[in-house]
Amino acid sequence: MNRREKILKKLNESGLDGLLFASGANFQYVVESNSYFWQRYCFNLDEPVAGARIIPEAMVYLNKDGKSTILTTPLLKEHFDTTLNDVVVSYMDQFEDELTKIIDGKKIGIGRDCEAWFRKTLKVKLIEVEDIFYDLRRIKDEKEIALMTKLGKFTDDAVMYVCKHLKPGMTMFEAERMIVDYGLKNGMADLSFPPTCGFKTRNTENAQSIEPFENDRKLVEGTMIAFDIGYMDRGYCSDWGRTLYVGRAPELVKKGYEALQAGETYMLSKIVPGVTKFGELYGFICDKVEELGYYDYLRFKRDETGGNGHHIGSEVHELPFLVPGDELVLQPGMIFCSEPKMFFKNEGYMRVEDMILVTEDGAKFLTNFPRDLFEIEL
Amino acid sequence: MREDRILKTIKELNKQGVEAVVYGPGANFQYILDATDYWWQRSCDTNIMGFSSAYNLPDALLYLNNKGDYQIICNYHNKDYFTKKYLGHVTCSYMDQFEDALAPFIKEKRIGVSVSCSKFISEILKNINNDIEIVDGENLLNDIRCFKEADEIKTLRELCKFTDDAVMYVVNNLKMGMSQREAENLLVKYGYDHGVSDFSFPPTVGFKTQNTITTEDVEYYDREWKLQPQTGIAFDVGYMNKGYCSDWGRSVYVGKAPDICKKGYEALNKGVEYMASQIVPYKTNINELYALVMKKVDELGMLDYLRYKDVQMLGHQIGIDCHEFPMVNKDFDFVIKPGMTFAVEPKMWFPNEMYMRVEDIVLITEDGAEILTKFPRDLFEIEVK
Repeated sequence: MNRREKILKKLNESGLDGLLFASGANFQYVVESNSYFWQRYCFNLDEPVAGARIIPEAMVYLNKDGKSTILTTPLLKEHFDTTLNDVVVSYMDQFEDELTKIIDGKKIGIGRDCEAWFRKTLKVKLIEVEDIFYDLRRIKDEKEIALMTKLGKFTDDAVMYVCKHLKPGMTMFEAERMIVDYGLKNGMADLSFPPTCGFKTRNTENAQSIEPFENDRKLVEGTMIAFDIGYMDRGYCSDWGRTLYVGRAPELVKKGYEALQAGETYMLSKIVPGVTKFGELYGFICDKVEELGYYDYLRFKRDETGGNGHHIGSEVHELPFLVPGDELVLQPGMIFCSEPKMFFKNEGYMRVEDMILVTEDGAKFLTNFPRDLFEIEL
Repeated sequence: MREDRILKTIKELNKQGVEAVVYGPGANFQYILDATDYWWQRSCDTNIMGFSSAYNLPDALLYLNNKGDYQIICNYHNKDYFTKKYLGHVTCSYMDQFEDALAPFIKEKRIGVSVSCSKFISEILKNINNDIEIVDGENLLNDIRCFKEADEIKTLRELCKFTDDAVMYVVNNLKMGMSQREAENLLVKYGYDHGVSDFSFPPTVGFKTQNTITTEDVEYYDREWKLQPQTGIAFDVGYMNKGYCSDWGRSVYVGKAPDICKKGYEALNKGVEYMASQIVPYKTNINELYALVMKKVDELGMLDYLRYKDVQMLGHQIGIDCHEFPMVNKDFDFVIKPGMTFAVEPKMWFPNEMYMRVEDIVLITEDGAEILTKFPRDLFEIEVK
C-alpha cells in the first residue's frame, strides 16, 4: 500500500467522513509536499502547535473517496503537488466560504493546529484526531529514510566542523553560533531547537550542577562540552549528541564516556525487529553501564521516566517517548533517538544522542560521529 | 532603505525620548524599510486589527536607533529578499536565535517595540539587558506616516481606481436570486483575476430588502439572503496591494427606490462633496469634518437619517494599515495638511427600507482636497435580471 492508501484505510476505520488539517506535520504527511515551510508559521510561544486561534494559511481536506483538496493563498500555491491534490486558491478572509464548499461530510476529524478557528468556522461535527496518523507516520518510507540519513550525516559533519574550529577563550555562545552559521551556510532550513554546546569546567561553580549553562562561559582546559544539536530541512528533523573534553580527561570521566558509548552500541545490538519493545531499550543501556561500573553516574536510573529518547521525523519529538514499560514493538522503518546522559559532580556533564533506524534484521545508527573521539587539543 | 524616512523616524524618536526601536513585521517595519513587496500582512493574523499576535515569533525584526544605525534580523527563508535590498545591514539567523543575533546591536536603554510580536520582542530585550525600559513603539510614527509621499499617493490612487472598477464589475454581474455571499465572491474573483494581493478586510455587499427581517435591524445581515426587487445594497470593500489598503463604499438600489431613499443617497453624497470642498489645508481641523457633512445633510432635510451624530465619527486615515491615526471624529484634534489620506464614511439608516453607506478616500493637496474614489455618485437605482 502506498501512503495515500494507508491514509484512506485509517480514515475509513475511524468512522469519520473526512479529515481536515491546517499547516503542520499531519498536513505535510497527507499532501506529500515538503518544500512548503510550515514549521515556523505562526509559531506560538505558549503552545506546541500553531496557535489554535490563528487562521491557517494552508489546509488540506481529505474525503472518503480519497480526494484531497488544499485550500491556500495565492502566495503559497506553487508549493503543492497538483497531481496528488486539488489546489483551491483564495484570500484568507474568504477561506470560510471556500472551505464550506469543500467539506462534504457531517463528521470531520481535525488536528490541533488552528483548531479554534476550525471550530468557530465550521458548523459540522468536529472531532480532534491529531494522533490519527501517529502509527503510520512512525514507519518511515524510503524517501523519508534517505532524507533523515542525510540529516544525521549533516549533523555529524557540522559538529566535526565546530570541533575543528574551537579556540581557547571562546565563549559557549560563540561555539553555538558556529552551529547556526554552519547550517545557514550549507542551506539548512532551520534548527530543530536552540542548539547547545554545553560547557562545564572541572572544579568550578558551573560543574556543581547540570543546569544552568552560561552563555559567556569561556573555553579552557578541563572543560567538558556536551552537544545537543538538531537541524531541520525539507520537512524533517535531526537530533544529535556527543561529548568532548578539552585537554587530558581524568580517568574516571574518560572511562565514563566509554561506558556511555558502550551502553548505546550494546542497546542497538539487542534490537530484534518485531520482538523488542521500545520501553526495554534504556534497560539494555543500564545493564552495560552497570557492568562497566558506571551506573551511579547515569542521570536517569532504570525506572525513571526522564528524557532518554523519543521517535523523530517531521517533528523533532514524535511519540512515544522512551520510558520504561512502553509497549511499542520496534518495526523496520522506525527512527528514534536514544539519549543517555551522565553527570560527574565537579567534573562535568556528558551526553550521547543517536538517531537509530530499525532495519529488517536489526538496527543501525544514522549518526556516526566517531565514538572514540573524546579528548581534543585546541 | 529610504534615508528620508530614517531621518524622519529619528526626529520622532528624539522628540519622544526613545533611543531605539525594535519592530516585528508590520506597518512601521514596512514604512521605514520601504519594503512594500514584503508580504507580512497575514503572518500570524489573529485579530481584526491585523496585528500579529503578541505571543507569536516574528520572521524578521528591524532594529533602528536614534543615530540611524539599523539592522534587519531575518530567518533563512527571507535572507535573499532582505540581502538584495539592504546589503550590509542583514543578520540571517534561525528564529530561535533572534535574541542572540540582535544582542550585539542593542546598546540603548529606552526602546520602543511594535505591537506585533511585542511579547516576544520585550522578552528578548529583557534577556539582553534587564535594565532596558520597553515603551510603545507602534504609535511613534503616526504623525509622519499620516503624511503620504508621492509614491504612496500613487499606490493609493491606483487602488481606489481598482476598487471603483471592481464594484462596477459586481454591479454589472448581479443576478436576481444571487445570495449576498455570491455577490461578495464576485469581489474575490475580480481581485484574484487582476492579481491584487488581498482584501483589507472581509468585504460586505450588504443586502437589505424593504419590509423584511433584514431591514428591521441595521446590524442584521444574512449572507444567504437572496437578491430580489426592492433591495438596497451597501458596499464596504477594501483591497490590499503593494503594501497599501483601500476602503470603499457606495450603495445601489435594485428596482425603483422610494423617494426618501433617493433623496437620502443624494444628500449623503452631497455631504461628502461639500465637506471635501470646504477643506483648507493648514487650517481646517479633522474634528470639524463630520459637522461639515452634517451641515449639508441638514440643509437637504435628511439629518434624521444620518448615523453617529453623537460621536461625530466620520472615518480614519488610511495607508499601510487600513485604519491609521488620527481617526476622523470630533475628539481628534489635528490640523489637516497636504499629503494626508483619509477615508470618510457617513451612513444613513432607513428602518424597513434600507441601509446606506458612502465611503471615499480623500487626499489633501496643497490647496484643498481631492476625492480619489470616483465611482459615479448618481448611479443608485439599478436594473438586475
